[in-house]
Amino acid sequence: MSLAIAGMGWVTPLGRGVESVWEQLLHGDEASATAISEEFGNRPYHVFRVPESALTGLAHPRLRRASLISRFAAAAGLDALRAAGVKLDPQNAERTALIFAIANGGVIYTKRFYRDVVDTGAQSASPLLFPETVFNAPASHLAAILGVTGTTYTLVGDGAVGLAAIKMAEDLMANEQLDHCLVVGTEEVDWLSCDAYRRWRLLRLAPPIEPFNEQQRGMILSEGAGAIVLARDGPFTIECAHPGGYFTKRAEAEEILKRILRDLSRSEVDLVIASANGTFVDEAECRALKAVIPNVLVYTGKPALGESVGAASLWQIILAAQALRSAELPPVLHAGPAIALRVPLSRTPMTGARRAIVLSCGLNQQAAGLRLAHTSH
Amino acid sequence: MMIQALKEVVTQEPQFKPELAVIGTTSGGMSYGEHYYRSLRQAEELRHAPTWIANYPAQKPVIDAQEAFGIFAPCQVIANACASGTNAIGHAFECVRSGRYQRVLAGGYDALAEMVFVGFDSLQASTPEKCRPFDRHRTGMALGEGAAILALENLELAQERGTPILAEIIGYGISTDNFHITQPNPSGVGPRQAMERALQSADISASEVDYINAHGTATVFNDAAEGKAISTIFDGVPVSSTKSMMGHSLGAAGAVEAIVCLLALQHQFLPPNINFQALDDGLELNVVANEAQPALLSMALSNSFGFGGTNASILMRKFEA
Repeated sequence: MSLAIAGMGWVTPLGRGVESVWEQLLHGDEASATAISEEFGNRPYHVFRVPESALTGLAHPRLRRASLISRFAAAAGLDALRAAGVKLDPQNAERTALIFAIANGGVIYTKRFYRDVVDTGAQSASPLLFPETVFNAPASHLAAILGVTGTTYTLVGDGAVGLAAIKMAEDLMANEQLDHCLVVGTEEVDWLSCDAYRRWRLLRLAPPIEPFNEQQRGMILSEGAGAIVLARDGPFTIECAHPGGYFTKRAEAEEILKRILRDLSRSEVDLVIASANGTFVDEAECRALKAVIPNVLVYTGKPALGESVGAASLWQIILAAQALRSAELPPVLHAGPAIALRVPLSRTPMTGARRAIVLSCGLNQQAAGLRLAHTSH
Repeated sequence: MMIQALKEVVTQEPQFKPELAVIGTTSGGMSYGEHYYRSLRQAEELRHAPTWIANYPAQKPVIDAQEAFGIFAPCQVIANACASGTNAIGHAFECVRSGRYQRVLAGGYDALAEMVFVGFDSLQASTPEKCRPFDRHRTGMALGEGAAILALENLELAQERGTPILAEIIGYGISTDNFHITQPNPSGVGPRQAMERALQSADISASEVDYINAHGTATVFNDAAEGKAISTIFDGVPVSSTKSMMGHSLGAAGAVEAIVCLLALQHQFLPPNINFQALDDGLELNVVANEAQPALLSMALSNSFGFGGTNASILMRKFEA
């Protein structure tokens, strides 16, 4: 069964709105880095934050006390439904499923909640903060805003979790009682997540992200959300959602990526949206691409937008759809000339391009992929 | 715990090669996150921080357990709060029933963490006393921990293989109650919809259900809403909450309780709801009070509900060869 993309919503460090963010990427814009620090931390980290203006006009009682991750998700989800022309009411809300993809979750409120416990003891734990620490809090808020009364799932994983969510949506849509599935990937950034990834030697202290660089200097974390409305008809078709798998050691990531690419490139593809982010992922993707489809154009948006983990593969799908729709690719920022792949270093036309692979290699052992086609070409 | 649970599956079914693993959890590797944060905050030794961080992601125990037994199925880790385990089994069931998959591992896990313990305490949802689901004097839940995994397979294929079939899953219902992030709608609409949808999914009537393993956390709000929903749909069906004996293992609970239902169907008994003295005045339930009872069971329903208004019910049937 193939699924169609009927609408998309995008909240990023370059602002909100698919067309607006895309135009900035085409112009070679890069998000501004902000330094964040922590009272007990010995160093600041640079991150790409969503500008406050991106959440303007987002008002609902459920969001009054909700964390940023929930607000990003609500903004992207509502935009995607609007773009798809889907208006939920009590009659059709049951026929819409909601799937969330999350990696680190509500880390800001979780940290606040636990800080109080560590500093002053269990008696100061906040009953208001605790519910927001639960992984499915963002999905709960959006379900309440939309009035979804049926299927709601929150999937947790790494950067590939968005593609697992699409795969789950494909499985759910096999049931004809569903008309739409809204898939939302969302993440918020905090000093604590930066410090954790730094201790894992995956993060660099300040930009840029240098994709496919042999030095693997590390990534910069970002935040935001991506949302996609899946339906049975739409301008883009997800021809194949590959379930991928897991790798036990970083050195084994290449093999699973090769398998995914082999399966997805059985139909001719014009483009791969990679997940390269300046870490071990880049080498694994580079080797796999060179081995399976060496001449394909490869783009990664992470040097411009940062690594948004749980939201990342939804962003990649949006990038793929926009590239196919507009028949051009933005420049890959901070890419060196020695990269052994066909990476666009400037704005590049792709006349007649029809199919793209979205390839995701997560930082925590998961990998997946999908193949997207522009149906009106 | 996940490794131990999967070991039991592999011991019973060494030939089972799943195409997918759907596992529920509520807090994932939260206790590792706590070690890390506490050490940072209190300027303590951080030598083990990379290990703590590596074990924090919710998918890690699922991958580790699979790796231990040479299983390489892609994982979907569902975090629908305390409904996660039942959601995982329900989604896995639908994947197999649709014909898109033949064999799926499904279950749930959760380990006690300070944050979770303190969080439920802050909501006044847990109790230092005995856990008394549906009792007039109930004072809250007792937290537990654990893991449970089921090997689901297309029935015809399992029969062809000649493998022992422990029970059939025949229905799944899911609903979302948008009333409040931590409290169910007092009308019981969310649980009622989940149970009704499970019955529809199985194409059976409420009168065919012989036993209900309730979510039954022993909190004032859950038991009132669930009890109301059960008595709206069912007429005198025996009900028990086995959380009275094992505590609430959160994301594992649905999977643990599915196995309780399976055992009840296999061994023809009603699992008890212990610490029970007197039914809540506002409820009309046939509670299996304090002791297991022999019974003729053909069909069992298991409920799980969670924060965020997630509700899930699965229906299991005794397998008749």
